[in-house]
Amino acid sequence: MDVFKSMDVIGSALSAERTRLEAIQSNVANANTVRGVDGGPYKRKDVVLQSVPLQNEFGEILDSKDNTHVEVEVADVVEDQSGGRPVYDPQHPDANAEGYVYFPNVNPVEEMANMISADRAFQTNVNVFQTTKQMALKALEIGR
Amino acid sequence: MTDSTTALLERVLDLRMKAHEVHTSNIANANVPQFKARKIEFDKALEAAVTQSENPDTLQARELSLQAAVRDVESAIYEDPNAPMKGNGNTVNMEREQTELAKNTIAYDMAIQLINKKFAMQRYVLQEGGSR
Amino acid sequence: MSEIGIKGNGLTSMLERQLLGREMTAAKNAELKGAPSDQTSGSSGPSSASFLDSLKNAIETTNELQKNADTSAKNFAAGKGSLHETLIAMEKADISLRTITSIRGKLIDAYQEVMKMPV
Repeated sequence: MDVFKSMDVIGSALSAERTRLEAIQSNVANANTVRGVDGGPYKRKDVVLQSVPLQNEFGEILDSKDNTHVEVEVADVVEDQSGGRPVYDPQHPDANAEGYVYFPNVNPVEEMANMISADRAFQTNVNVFQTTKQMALKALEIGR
Repeated sequence: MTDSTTALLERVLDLRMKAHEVHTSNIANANVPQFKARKIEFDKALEAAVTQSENPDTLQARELSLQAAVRDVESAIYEDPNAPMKGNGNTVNMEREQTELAKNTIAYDMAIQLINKKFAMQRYVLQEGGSR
Repeated sequence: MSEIGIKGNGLTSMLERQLLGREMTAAKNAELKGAPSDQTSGSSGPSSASFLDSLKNAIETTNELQKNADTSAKNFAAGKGSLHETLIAMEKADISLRTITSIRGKLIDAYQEVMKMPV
């Protein structure tokens, strides 16, 4: 059913944007976490989104021209591998031999921008969902 | 007394009602630690029932085949083992559940309307037939 | 009249029997009363032949539309097709059924009128 496939697409976008928001929240909350889970500072998370390859019912990959329903999914959550941002503070309990402490590579301004983008995308998808639902309910008025 | 299409639509209503229960219960338990979201599936079963009843040659055989196939359609309810877990062990994906609920409600309304229409047509013919 | 055949679902076949049964009787009675042959006779006159043809067509169309509506409903249950297609198919079936039923009503009324005529 056409309208249901549209709703699946929107649902996938809502899920994906929510995941982005969660990663951003996690980054912002841990912006100053010097002791991350693996030892060393917290590694900043970045969510990578991709379009779901279109498959017909036999599992074969379809040409993208043939399908108007393209779902989105989280391809990967990539952790920052740079080792963190060194800050000179010999008094810090976690300072290394040279007096440097490594802080997470989290830039609050960048995270803010990402957060606005993800939130805006989430809101837009919610609106699109409402519109889709309205269309379906309107169609149900045929012959009522 | 009812034809096979009406029986099919009735079954769709039963299944959609059950799906409604599954999704609302998932949503209600969205914050319960360790709660595992449940999935319900019956699309493939319905599709199989409809397509395999197209095979027989005569109209009557197709009617009977669909009636029988409809009775056998069952829904599968299970906990999804691949569902991603949140921090507290809960696997409910709110966006997915709300999407499924919306789709399900529309499908339910649709089935109700189709059944209403079929009954209205039957009633109309019977009334008109008796009035002269 | 039997070449239409009773096929499809029960609604249109019921109407077929009612319509065609009455029509045949009305035509026969009109002939017996000596009414002009181009008005109600079933077998002679080009205008009545085409009326019967369009009647046959209307019944067949109604039948087809009923079957289409059923098929769309089944497709909807199987998850195929679109919402509006299915609902429109149902509506077409409904309208054509009402049309043919009201034609049947008018024909019966006409038959009863004819029968009341003092000859």
